[in-house]
Amino acid sequence: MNIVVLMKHVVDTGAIRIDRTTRQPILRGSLTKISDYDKNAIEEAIRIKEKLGAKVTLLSVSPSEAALTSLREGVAMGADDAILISTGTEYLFDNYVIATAIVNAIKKFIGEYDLILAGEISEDLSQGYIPAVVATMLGIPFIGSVRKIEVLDKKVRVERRMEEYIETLESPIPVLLSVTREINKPRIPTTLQIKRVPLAKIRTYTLQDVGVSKDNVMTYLEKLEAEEMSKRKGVILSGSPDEIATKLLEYLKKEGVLE
Amino acid sequence: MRSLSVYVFTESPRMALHVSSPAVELASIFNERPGLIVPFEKKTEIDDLLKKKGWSEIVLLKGIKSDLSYDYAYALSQLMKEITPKILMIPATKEGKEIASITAALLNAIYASEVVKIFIENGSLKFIRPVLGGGILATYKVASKNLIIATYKPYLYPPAADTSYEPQIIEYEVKYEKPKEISNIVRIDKKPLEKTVDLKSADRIVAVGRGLAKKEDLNMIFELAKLLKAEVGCSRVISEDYGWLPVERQVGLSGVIVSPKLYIAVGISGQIQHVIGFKNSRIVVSINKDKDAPIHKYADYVIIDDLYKIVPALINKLKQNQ
Repeated sequence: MNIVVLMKHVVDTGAIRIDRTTRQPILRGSLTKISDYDKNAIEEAIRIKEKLGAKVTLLSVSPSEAALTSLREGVAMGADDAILISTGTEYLFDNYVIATAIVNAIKKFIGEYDLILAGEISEDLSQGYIPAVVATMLGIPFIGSVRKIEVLDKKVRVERRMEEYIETLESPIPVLLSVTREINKPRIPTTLQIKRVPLAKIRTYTLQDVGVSKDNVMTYLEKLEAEEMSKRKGVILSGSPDEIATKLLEYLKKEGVLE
Repeated sequence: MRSLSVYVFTESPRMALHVSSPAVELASIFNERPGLIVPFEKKTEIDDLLKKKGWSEIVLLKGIKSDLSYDYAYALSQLMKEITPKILMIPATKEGKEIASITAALLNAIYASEVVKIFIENGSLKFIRPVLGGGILATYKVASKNLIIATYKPYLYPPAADTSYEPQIIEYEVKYEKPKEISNIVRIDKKPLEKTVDLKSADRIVAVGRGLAKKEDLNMIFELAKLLKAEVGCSRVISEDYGWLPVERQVGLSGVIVSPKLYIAVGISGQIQHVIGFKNSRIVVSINKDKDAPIHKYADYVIIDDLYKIVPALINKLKQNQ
């Protein structure tokens, strides 16, 4: 069984700094990591491998340098192979360009696959679109928001939680599934395990190698700007816990927000 | 049919109320009213309240073969090819987002996920959406004539004002074939979700975060919430990382967006993706012993102290006052 995991290397959104004058996020030099949701996808692929035997290939379309660290981490978790389609130093924002690069890389460098797994959304753009469009371009079914996967003979049975109900679906293989963070608890490889993964293990290609031009976009990112937050009162309450509790309840009563 | 510029689709008609005001606003850019598309099978859910929201027409879409996302997507893409609007809006429920993404993929449309605004500037269509965990807005310029499929987070907008305008109700039948591999997706089981809580409509919320040392300590949070007649919410780490509370209690960009009268953040650091979730609250209280925790910047009443001292003190006082 061949499993491909779509993995995105992202800026750690918890650590983004904002330039005070321009109100723009400072992305250069920011901490980066594997998008959390994709870690669950990698973990799930490895669990299937451990149970049924499979070859797990990671595929990422990301800026090169930092993404290598993430791909090595994924290999240290237990993936067999890793492919990076390098975008140079740039983060791509156009769905069409990213999806085409993924699809062409799968066709050209991977070939056969039974299962493609991805995180439900990426941590940086939170769209959840790439899985649907990659599946459609490949001509295979897509099922999103999966929290349980059972691999059966030539098909998968999956469970997912929608807005109002829980459902179980079956789909023939090959299929692309996007997974939620409920599905498992990803293992954490040690720094030593990550360092032991040779760089040569990661096959690196360019956008050109997969026949994609960055200019071929449907949307342009025009600007990124920090959202204005409305000012709050910021009244600091101090004293002993008892005094603080009393003061707080008085304030809340005055504000008319208590029952 | 009128071939309007802006349509809303939802498989769950009452959700249309929640996007009616941005729909009316967007259609007004083109000097039009928006259209609404719902499955014919949901006809009975189109009530007077919904009809009054200023729709130009309500299209009852016939010929949808099942309630799987792919059936809605194929039916909808067939319709889109025929009426060629500029923008299709879909409420961003889990179901809505999946239908939107598959439809966009089938039509090679521009997918604009959870947008906050679509507008025209210097003759170009642009849209704004939160990125990078929230708190940062990205403005995209559209560089193609293709259809835009935009999802809107529901519950953020009040329903559009009532009008006396009477929408035309139209039945429209589509014919589509799903490819073989897609038609082999089958539903084995479907059961209603037993929701324990609806944070969106809560008046008061006590939310807890990483500062909580162990799961058992949730008892004290629930006790405080009960005394305040509040619901319990949480930050992402408690639901997604620790699994101590179900995700329907998660407040934030990737969870629920809430707007209570009172929001008490207990042991929450204040990552922006969480802050986005409660920023519409009327009064916010922060309890965190770390004086540098970002949460304190977003609070009306700031308590820089140990939650393990403050929460019991609050419980005590509330019990005395009963």
